[in-house]
Amino acid sequence: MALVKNDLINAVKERCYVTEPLARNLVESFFEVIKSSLEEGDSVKLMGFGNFIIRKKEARIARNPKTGEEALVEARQVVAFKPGKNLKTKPVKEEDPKKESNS
Amino acid sequence: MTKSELISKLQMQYKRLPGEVVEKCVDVILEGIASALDDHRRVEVRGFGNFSIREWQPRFARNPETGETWRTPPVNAVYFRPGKELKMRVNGRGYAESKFNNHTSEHSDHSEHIECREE
Repeated sequence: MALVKNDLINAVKERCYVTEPLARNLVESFFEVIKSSLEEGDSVKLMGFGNFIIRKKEARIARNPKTGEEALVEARQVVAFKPGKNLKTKPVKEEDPKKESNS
Repeated sequence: MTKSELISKLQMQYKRLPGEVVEKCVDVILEGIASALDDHRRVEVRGFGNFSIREWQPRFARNPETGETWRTPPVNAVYFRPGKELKMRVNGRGYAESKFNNHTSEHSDHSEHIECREE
C-alpha cells in the first residue's frame, strides 16, 4: 500500500506529540513551503533526502503518434527530483532466486 | 532553499510551537517518506507529487574505451513525479492555459489519476 499524506500526519502526531489538527497543518505547510519555493523558481535542497530542481524545457513541435497531427508544446518548466545519497541506490534485496541465476 | 531555511520558514508560521518541535516534524516527514521508499512502497502526496521506486534490472554494458563487457548491478532508483498542482504553479499561468489543462480543475482527484496512468 502506498504511503499517503494521512500516514505522514499520523507519524508527526505520534512522534512530535502534537494534536492531529496541528499535525495536519504542519504536514500541509511543509509541502506548501516547498511548492511556493519552487513556484518562485528557487530549487529546494534537503540534505540527506534530495534536491528538487527546476528544469527549463524549450518549446518544441510534438506529434500525436496516433493521428500524426503536429502540436506546439510551449516552453515550460518542470520539477525534477534528484535523490540524495541516502535515498539514491539502496542495495537490492537478493532474496529472489531468479535474479541470482542470471549472473 | 535549504533544509534549514525550510525549517525557519515553518517556525515563522508556527511561532507558538517550540522550534525543536517544528524541526523534528520536518525530520519525521522526510524519514517517513524515505523509509516507505526503502520498503518499496509508493508515496503519494496529493497536489505535490508521487515518489516511486524504479527497479533497473542488471544489464550488460560495455566500456567504450576497452571494449570490456560487464554486468551492471541492479539498482533501485527513486523517481519523483510532480503532481498537477505543482506542475501548474511552477509554470504560473502558462501551463494553466494550455490546451491539455483547461478542462480540469486544479484540485480534481480525477485529473491526477489520468496523469498516473501514463506510467
